Amino acid sequence: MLPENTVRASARAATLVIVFVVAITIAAEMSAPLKTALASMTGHHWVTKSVASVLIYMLLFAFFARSATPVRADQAARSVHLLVATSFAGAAALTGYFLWHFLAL
Amino acid sequence: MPVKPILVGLHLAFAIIGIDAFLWLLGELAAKVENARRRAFVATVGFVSFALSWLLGGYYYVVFYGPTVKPIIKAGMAPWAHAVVMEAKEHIFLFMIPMAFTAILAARATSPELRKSTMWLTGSLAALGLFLGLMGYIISAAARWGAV
Repeated sequence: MLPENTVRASARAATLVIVFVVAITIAAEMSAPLKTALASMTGHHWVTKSVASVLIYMLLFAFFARSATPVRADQAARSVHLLVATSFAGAAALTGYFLWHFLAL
Repeated sequence: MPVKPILVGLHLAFAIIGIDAFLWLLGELAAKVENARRRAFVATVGFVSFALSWLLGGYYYVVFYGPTVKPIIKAGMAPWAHAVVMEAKEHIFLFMIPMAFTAILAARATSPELRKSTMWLTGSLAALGLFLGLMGYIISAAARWGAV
């Protein structure tokens, strides 16, 4: 498999993991039953999110890497840039959410 | 021997090694060093270090922080250090593992476009690592203020 194919598959999977972590974290803060359900799976909501993020990454990576179409370097590079942008947006979203949540209480 | 400070120390030590590894990789990429094997090795060191930091820090967080440190911070002078900083830190850390693994794969690539985007990725890993380090310092300081 071309390195560009695996890079794009991994970057896409990682981007979606970040979206998942941000979404599930904010959703669980807004819904006590969801947070309790996450905690009941492993004993702690953060452990469940950790395990889920690894599993989702592995599944999505395997899914995206199945594509036999050769990926160009610029396409792979675009996926990496999107991953970088998503990581900063995700970090800002989580920090901003918890700040808002703290100030609103 | 107390386990708590050792766990925090190892969590921090592996995070520093990870940040250093990605800064090293950034230098390799900026200098256009044509040694893909070495780049992949350095990225692997960064990934393994962040993974160990995550596992050790996660164990500390679940076993010690929640039951003993969190109540001290919440009752102390800076409850926001838990409510904002720790809550954000524990989740942002989850971004780092898939990002670092992507860096291992991208480090082997040789095209100029991918080299440039990999520089952004490795620089971001180092920057996020430093940001999480700053957050860790705030949390530790808040625990000390709360304990005073």
